[in-house]
Amino acid sequence: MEAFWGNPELIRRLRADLRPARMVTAATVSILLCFLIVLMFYHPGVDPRSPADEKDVRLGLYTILLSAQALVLCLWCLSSCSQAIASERNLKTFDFLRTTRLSSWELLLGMIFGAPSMAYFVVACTLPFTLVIGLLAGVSLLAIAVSYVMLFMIAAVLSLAALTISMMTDRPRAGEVVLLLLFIGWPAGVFSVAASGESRFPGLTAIPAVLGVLPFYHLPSSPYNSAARFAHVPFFGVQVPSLLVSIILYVSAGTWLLPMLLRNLKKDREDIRLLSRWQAVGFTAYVNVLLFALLDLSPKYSLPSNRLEPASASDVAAGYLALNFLILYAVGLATLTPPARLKSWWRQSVQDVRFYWSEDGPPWPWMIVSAGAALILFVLEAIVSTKFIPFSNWSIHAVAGRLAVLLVFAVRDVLFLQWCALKGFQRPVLKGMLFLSLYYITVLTIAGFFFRSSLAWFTPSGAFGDPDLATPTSTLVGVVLQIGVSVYLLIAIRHRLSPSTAASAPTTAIPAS
Amino acid sequence: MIEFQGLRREYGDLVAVRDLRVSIPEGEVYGLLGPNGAGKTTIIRMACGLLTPTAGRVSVSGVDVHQDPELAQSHIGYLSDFFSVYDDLKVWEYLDYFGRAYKMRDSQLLPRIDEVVSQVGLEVKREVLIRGLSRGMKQRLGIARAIIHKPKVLLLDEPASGLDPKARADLRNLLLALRAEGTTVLISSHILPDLEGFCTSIGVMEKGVMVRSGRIAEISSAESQQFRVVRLSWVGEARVEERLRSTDKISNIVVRGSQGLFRFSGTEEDLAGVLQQLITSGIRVLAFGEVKQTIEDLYLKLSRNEVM
Repeated sequence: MEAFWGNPELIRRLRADLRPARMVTAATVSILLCFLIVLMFYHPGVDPRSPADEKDVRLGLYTILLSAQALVLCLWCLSSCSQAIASERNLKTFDFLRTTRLSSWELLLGMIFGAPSMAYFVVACTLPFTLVIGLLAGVSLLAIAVSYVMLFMIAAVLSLAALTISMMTDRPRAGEVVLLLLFIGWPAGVFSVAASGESRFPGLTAIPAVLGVLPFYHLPSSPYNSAARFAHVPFFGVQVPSLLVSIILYVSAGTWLLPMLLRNLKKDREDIRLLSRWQAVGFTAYVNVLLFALLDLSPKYSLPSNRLEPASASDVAAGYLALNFLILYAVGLATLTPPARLKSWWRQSVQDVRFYWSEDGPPWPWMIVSAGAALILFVLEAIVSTKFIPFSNWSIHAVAGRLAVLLVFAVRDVLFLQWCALKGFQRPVLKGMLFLSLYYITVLTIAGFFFRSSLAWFTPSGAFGDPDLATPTSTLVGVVLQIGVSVYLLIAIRHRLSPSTAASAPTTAIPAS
Repeated sequence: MIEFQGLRREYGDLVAVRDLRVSIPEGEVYGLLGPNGAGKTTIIRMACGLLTPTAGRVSVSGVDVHQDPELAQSHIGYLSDFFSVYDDLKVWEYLDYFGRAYKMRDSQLLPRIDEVVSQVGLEVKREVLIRGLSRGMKQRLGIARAIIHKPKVLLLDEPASGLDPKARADLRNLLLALRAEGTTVLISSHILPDLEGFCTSIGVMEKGVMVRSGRIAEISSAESQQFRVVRLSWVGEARVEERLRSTDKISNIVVRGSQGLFRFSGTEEDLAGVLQQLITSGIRVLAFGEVKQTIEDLYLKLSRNEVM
């Protein structure tokens, strides 16, 4: 506890943000707002209510106050943490922090809890209102405690995510906008998809965490009440409380964000590499295992046929392949080697093949390892899922082949991004991604209109087994072609790694005595 | 104290610093000179661990800055050219924060804050919010931050940029005091008079290459072996120019009234002979002596003033 309160970064932010005058203003405004909200329900013009209605009104008031606190805390955490590093970089104060003896852990702790300190203070000021009104509405202390614990946990994970974005961008507002869109759009989108009857991932309804908390409020249940329907969700095929899944999702997300921040927080922006090589492989395994845990393979009602239908191996495999294509991209991006390190590696290595696996080497060997790990997990998942789908239905060889096709394309694109980084573009990853988007849009337009059969030559469409889009021959041609492009990119990277002769030769250099 | 071993930094195709090998001993005040874009800032950023070298290593007090950054940071104080300070903190809070960040104990920290605040002349501003300070005061506070943990090495990147003459003089006095305390300083600047009388060594950078590096006295003496500039003055009418032209080691003679300057490419013995000749020929010499070279003179001699 002493380490927490004695954290210099936390002290600095508390001193700056919580000056007495500001605290008094914030407390006055927030308490006044609470009074105004209460007055909306209890002004003199309100008709007398029955005890049952009175309880509902109090519950409504409690919900409004709690929701307002949640909104303020989450948005404030997103906003302040998404600017925490980027704004210091802009002011050129972050370099001073980097040259102190503060560890990444200390900086992280101070920023996570210090940057949104005013939001925590505002929540603390309004907490007595929520507590009293909640108790008057008959809400148990346990329900209130669980709600706040979940709220603080979500706020902490959002802060970590915002800080990660802030670490990677030099524009304070850019990260804020991205996060705000994600915060508002993503949980709502995932929830609406996951909550549909056809969804094979009902466990994703645990992301907003509301459904997991509601059972503690003992609300009346009905067949149409989705809260009751998703109070328990399947996890590894076993029905578990939604709250548990929420906790697992947020804790594991936080656990992945932490090492990303800790290993990069004190680094120069161009030296940032989110994950180490083995962490990238672990990340692939984690996402595959997590989504398998949330996958519900039991028969589901299908809307077109309006009857129970078993899970289809080909649909699950297609989902697995699409997911792992994204994961391979993410792994490639997260392990792109900073140019200075790659050059340093190149000068030390060359002869020894083991160097290809080194931390500062190229990312592509580790993408192959990640794909291998994903395939092994897929086989294991197929073995443990025989209760729902016979093992023979999975066509493991075909899945392996398609995964290899995806790997070839992902490696090609990551090699291109690595070349962009070595070329010395400003914001090389962003520029590279824009070039790749342009490439895919052009190829899809031209091939889609004129040479549909050539789509598999230039895009990974052959991996998804649609005979309209790709034949085995065109897929094979595409793979050979892209391996050729990858070899060409490797040669271009190698050329970039050779010592540069751009500057003039030295004249005299006399070392100081 | 500071050692650069084969240090190299590339940005894409550009070599910002090329194979730098320099060793700066303890107590030295080393001026890194060069035009904008010569690679000075890159060197200082690599020296304090902010930038990873493409090749080579930097060590400070024997500690590799990139292998053991936390230990190295305890020896380093760093100040960059244009920077901000935390406007919403008070002066003492700012220094307290950095003292804690350098892991100073509470018992050491409070007296040290007072000491540093008085050293930079901000005693009356101790309890004031930083946003109320002038640019010069903020710069002084920046220096105070850089020395709060008593670093053995101070890395200053264009510290006088944007300062008015008074603030520059204050900065100079402060750095002189630190030099007297034995702090090793690496300071970069392209405003050469700022470094005059303060640096003990210089290094001239151009296009990422160290053109010349060494103690000022040694470089100056090496340059003087090629030629020295001599100033003289006399009383009354005299044919001084004619007399000087008769000596083959003298060139570039400039005479205005009863004063003159010439370039002499001989030994001190030879120069003494010239003075004797002038006196024996009846010229009433009032002053005769070598013009001391400034850092600017040396820089202009050594540099081709090339940028990347």
